[in-house]
Amino acid sequence: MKKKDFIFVGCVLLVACICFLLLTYMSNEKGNVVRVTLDGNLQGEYSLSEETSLDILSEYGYNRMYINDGHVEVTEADCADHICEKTGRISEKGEVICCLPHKLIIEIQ
Amino acid sequence: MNRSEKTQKMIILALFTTVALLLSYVESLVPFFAGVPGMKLGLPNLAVVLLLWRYEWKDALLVNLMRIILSGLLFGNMFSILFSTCGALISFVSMCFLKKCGLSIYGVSMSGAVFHNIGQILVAACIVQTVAVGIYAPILLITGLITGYLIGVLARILLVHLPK
Repeated sequence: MKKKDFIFVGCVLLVACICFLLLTYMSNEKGNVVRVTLDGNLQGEYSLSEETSLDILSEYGYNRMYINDGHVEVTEADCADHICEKTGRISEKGEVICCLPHKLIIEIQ
Repeated sequence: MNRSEKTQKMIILALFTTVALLLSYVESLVPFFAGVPGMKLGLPNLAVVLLLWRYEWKDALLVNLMRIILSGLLFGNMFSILFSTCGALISFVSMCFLKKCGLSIYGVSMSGAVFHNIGQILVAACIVQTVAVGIYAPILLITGLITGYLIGVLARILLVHLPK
């Protein structure tokens, strides 16, 4: 490892810290609205406090979103990688579940 | 370069492409993510980095593009090709640039990983048209540094055994 490598590592860590700080301080309220976006268009907003089970259908496929007890999660999906399901539950403002093959974003605001 | 040297080089590049393809398949078998889309081990980058050190950037670029197209056709789908290509191009440019700047193989490999992740975040942000995907940025940058460094270590070991 040369000195220039360390300079590079330092820069990357600095950028990562800045991003992290921006993310933490931009969201300092408890979230309670679940916002569902499909292909950049708002599909709907739901409350975190109401139990909801919703199938989100699009030309790309479907995802089943389940809101319960202040958490939201994707319980079923027909995408290839299932990363949306593997993300598990989210409950804090700013947290996101995304299904990129389906161009779906579920975020808490 | 005479005929037999050209043939030899072609064979070597073909071998590198095959290895990169295999590495990319092996990588897809290992579940390496913490709920973050796009987190990978970056094994195929090992082949790219070795090529950058033993051959020219054109050879490395060729092999990289070949393995992306082939692995996309064989194992992936349109999305994976798109993500991989964008990430790989940005990563490749950064690697060539930093190598010229004089970084060691560790730095170049780390930058390859980090910029590959940055490229993928940017593509994801464009596709879903929200900035929400930026939430993954810090962790992807850091895992990029770690996996890049490890690949760098492997490359260093292999370079000792590869003839010039």
